[in-house]
Amino acid sequence: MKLNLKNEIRTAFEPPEPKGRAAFLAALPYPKLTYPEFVFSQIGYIRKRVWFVSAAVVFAAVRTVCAIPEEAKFLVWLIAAIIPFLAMLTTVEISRSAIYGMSELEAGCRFSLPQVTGARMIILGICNFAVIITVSILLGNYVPFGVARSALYIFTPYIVVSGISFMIFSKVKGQEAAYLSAAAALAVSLAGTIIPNRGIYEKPMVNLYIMAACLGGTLMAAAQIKKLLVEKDRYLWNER
Amino acid sequence: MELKIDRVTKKYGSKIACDRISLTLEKGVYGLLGANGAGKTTLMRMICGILDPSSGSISCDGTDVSQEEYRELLGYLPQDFGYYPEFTAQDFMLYIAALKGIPKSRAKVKTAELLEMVSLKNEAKKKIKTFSGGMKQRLGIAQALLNDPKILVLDEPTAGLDPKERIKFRNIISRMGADRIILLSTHIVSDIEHIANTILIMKDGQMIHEGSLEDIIAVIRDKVWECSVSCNEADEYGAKYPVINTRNEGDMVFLRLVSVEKPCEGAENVEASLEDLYLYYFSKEED
Repeated sequence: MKLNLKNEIRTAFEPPEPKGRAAFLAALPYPKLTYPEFVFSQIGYIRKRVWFVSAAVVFAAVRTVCAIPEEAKFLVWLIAAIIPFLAMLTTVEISRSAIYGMSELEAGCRFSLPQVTGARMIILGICNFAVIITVSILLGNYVPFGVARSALYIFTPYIVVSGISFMIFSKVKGQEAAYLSAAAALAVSLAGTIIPNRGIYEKPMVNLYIMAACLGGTLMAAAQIKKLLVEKDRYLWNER
Repeated sequence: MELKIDRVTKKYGSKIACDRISLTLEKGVYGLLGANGAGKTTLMRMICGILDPSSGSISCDGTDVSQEEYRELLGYLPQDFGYYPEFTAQDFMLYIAALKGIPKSRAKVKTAELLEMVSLKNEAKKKIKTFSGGMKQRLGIAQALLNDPKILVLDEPTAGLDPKERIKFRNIISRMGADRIILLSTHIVSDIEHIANTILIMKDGQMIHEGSLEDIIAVIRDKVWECSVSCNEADEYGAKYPVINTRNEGDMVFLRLVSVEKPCEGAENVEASLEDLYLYYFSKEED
């Protein structure tokens, strides 16, 4: 058909309303996110403060190793004091749905609440693990007690605060849980900093650190199991 | 398409929130009525897979409520929902779209479409914390529709909406009910009266009525009376009959009440409404 004729027809006649457009569009097989894609999509929803603290810790370790390696032991002590706050921020991020009343909405979605929580745990777990390992390797080569003990000294306050915080979130609802978790982080941070610097890095303290880390891990596991399996119904019932 | 609820019971300790409820829902709009604590929200949460029934089963065309495939068919608006404080309306929609497994490119298109539908297009980039209750509720309705759900569960969807918004929302629901299952609960009886094809009434965890508006109202047909009486008589009738409405008219008191026989000489038999039935069943409880 000639272009002129086409244009003439367009101007002379009103096009008919499309029929069954919605049904046609609904029938199209739209692509859907897979779980790994979903996990990846959740990275963008992690708040910047978590990335900021993680980056600051790594940056401080790199800077120390490059500029003042003799201060590496001090930095292990400093990071061990900061890491409880990273653990607290992580726990708050993982438990965000409950803090802001989004649990019910998220639970009814295709990727439901346990999967959302799982995605956040995967992202933040990998990130935090990478931070702890990186700074431990960086600083461990410049301290007398080596990489493994550096990792232990940094990891223990992290896991202890995580355990306490998860336990708090399984017992207390809403914003109060975040405040209590912050208090726990502050307490663990202070406990690590007020003990004389020399004492905490002596060999006899290693067992104490290992025990504390195990306790933190147990608390964390217990809180998660309780939350996911035992308290699901009670939690939602009480939320109203 | 068939949503089958088979002898579903939910117990919280000794409290029975839902008691052996059996329903088969097909395409259409179902209105769920009941007083506070009747078990409506518990039933809706079980239909959405958020709560596990103590016994019984829920499935849609053989797909169990616990399966991801079932949740893919679902759109849910809870009675109360929060939001992350840094979210704009668009962020919120895109976030829920991700949870519904919708890729970002499609989510953006759907978000724009739905925000326009609920008249929030101009507020798409505004933070939700600046929204009024009605705007937040409209956003909640929009998110429930993101995945074009085949089962749409709406708990108090019209709460906080002004009359104009409510009517607009009712029209949207009526249109959508043609090719999906919509279950909505509300205390605004007129909403259900206008849009529900089937009305479900719950009391003390049990489904006491299920049927069309005509079927349901038949319970009190020819039993609703209006009369004007003195103050003393009004007290007397109030104690004797379920009074649906009372209004002072000078020295007299206008009463609308339910009675099997004519309550007094001047009483006039009037057409029963769903609100009459609701108040007949639940006014005493809510007092």
